[in-house]
Amino acid sequence: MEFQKYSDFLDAVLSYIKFPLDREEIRLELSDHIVDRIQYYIEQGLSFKEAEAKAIMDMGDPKDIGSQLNKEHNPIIGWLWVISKALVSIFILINIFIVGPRLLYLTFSIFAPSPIKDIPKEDIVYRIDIDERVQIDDRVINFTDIVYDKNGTIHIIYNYYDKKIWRMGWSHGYLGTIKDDKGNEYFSGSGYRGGGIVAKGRKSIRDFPRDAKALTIEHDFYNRYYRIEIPLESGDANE
Amino acid sequence: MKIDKGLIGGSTNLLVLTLLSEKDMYGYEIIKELEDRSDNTFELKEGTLYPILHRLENDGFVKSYRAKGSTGKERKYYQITTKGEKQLIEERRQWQVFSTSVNKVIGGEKHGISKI
Repeated sequence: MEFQKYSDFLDAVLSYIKFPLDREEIRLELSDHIVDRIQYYIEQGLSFKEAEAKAIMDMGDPKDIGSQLNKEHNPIIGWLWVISKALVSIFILINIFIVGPRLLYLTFSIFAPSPIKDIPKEDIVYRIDIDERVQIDDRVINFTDIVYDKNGTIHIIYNYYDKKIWRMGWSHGYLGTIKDDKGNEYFSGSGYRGGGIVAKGRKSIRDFPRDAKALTIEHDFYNRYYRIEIPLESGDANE
Repeated sequence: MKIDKGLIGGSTNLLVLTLLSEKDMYGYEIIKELEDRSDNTFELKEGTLYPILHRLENDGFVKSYRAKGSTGKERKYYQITTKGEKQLIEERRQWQVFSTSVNKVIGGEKHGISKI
């Protein structure tokens, strides 16, 4: 096949290359070569047209070159490479912005004291070890202790973590409706929660009856439901 | 004398890696060097050098980069890697075995016997 212009020759070679992202680079490299060759022939005294024709002839068969180059630029490997590079970037970003801060939190939360330590020992009327585990979506909440203090405040101690490390869910932080066995409901209460991968929390309710025999936490929020009942030590068990 | 390209086909790796072991070069430079050193014996179709270079790069024997050379024009340069240098040693060894064997055959029985 005869080519009038070297750009036509390049088009012919490139038509065999299936992986689009490498085409431009290959074209540039081959074009550099032909231009150098044309330059050489012009220095030998040929006209541009003659030099161009000879330079194209020297290159060889575009089908040969194109199909052999295509083998070295396999589109499947090419795309896999592009995709894997993108995935690595995404993975690094996830680590920097999501997992990174959580690991940082974890480091602090290891040393963070349990919320139970905030309650002076001498103030504790009774303390019950419990192990109630509930799950809302991917968030697991583990109730560990109930502490009743001499001011009539009951403290619910819990920790929580996500089953999926990159999720920050359970944004509302709502434990549930807290009731006693006398039929009282407690809506308000102070508390805090925080920490890393396994975070700790405390919910405190003031003026909780000393003689209540049970406490229930009922969570019913957007179709997510759990209910736990904790028997309390009434009377003078710990006094 | 021109040599059939099929004959040099098996030794192109050796030739290209040898040149690149001396200095980094771009494609046209390699072709010119081959022509000059072989007194135009090797007249391979110039475009077919590029699939060879790209294969060497895929194999990890060379790597490439774009840079401005002494002429001031930007070119795609090829550089031999450590892996490529090991390959060159191996290709040289194979070439010696091959050329010795060919010599034995064309040199006749006498040459073969004298070796034993």
